[in-house]
Amino acid sequence: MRRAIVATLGTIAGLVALLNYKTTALPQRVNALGAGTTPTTTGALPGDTGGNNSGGGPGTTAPSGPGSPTTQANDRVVKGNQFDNQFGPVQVEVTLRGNKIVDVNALQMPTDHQQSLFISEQAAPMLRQETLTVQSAQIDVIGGATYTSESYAQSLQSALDAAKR
Amino acid sequence: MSIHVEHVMGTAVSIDVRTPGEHAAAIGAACAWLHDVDAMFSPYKEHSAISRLDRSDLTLDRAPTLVREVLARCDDLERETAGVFSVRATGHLDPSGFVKGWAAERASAILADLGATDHALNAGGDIRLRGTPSGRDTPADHRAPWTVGIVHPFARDAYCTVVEMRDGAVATSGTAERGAHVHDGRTRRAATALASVTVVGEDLETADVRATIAVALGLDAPAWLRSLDGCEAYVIDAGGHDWATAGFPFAALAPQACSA
Repeated sequence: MRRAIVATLGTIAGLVALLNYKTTALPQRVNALGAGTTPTTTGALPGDTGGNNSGGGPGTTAPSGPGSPTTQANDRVVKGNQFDNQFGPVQVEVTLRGNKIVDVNALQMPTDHQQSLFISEQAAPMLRQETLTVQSAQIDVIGGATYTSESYAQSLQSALDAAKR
Repeated sequence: MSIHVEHVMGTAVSIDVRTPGEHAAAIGAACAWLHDVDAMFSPYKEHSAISRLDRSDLTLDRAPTLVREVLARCDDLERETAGVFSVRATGHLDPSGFVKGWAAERASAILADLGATDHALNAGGDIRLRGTPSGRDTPADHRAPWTVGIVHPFARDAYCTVVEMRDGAVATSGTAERGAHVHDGRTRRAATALASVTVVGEDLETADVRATIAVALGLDAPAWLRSLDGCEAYVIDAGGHDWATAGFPFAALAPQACSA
């Protein structure tokens, strides 16, 4: 379990770095998300949070509803290590119920805008990634990245094709 | 079992036939079709009908029938989406947003018609699945779906989710890999609010168009996707939040990394 928590925090730290990167790369995003979202509770995307977990990607976060998850007695709050990225220091704390993240809070972030990105839902894609990387052997075909003829060589589909040829 | 990889339409098309036997003729016919489409529709080829139409070297009434059909379908889509989908969103005639999915759908039909009934055709990340991954037509094998890993928009060597499907299409559009390549036809600006939209449906032509439109719609996409019949979708926005329709076919894979 301890290992899982450490891995999870590493994942979140990685996400923070990515989000910071994307902020500078895509300035429009700040308008789309930073200004328009309610901090810490509602997702930037309209719609039910229940859809996130239908069918259950393993290890996905399970917010109990559209609002901020209610803290329960057996929840544990784990503080991540502070680390520096190119925009400044970052530190997050994560609330765990069992081995699922139910809340993420930014203790330190480089800019004001980042705060609104840390809602409970946002951890889900990265957690799926963490889990699913392990299970590549079960995959028949790989979609998602729109690759060019040039970038195909670096794609996961290319690796799969080579393995089966 | 072997996978054929064809470089065409600016991308790599992987054709994985699972039906037992020799299928070189079927694969050859499907690839010939894709090259024909490329020669006709590529906005990057100087002599394609699309480039000539764009330069007014060619008038629509003299264009090949297939080109007229595709552009008519694109006009319909532009009307249906109130301009969000537009073949002129970049300022040049470019129906690529429609052509890839349409051409791949037909390539898959060609494969099936010529006996390669069980296959996965992956056109640069957009996938058409037919039959079963085992290639066997038994009741037990009919229950075994294909598993499709969807590459994470922020981490190209990992999946954001895995889909399970039998016959059908899985199309993903977004800002990953090629950067912001979808434009909102209403504003002609690059659409950047959504990092990844995966649409699952019966055919790749429709699924691909829907994924592209959803990216162009940005944060309006979930409401639109939910309004469509026979459409399941999984969306990740630029901030990493995810959203899915209630019936999206997430694979039921056993948890591993998080249960350690």
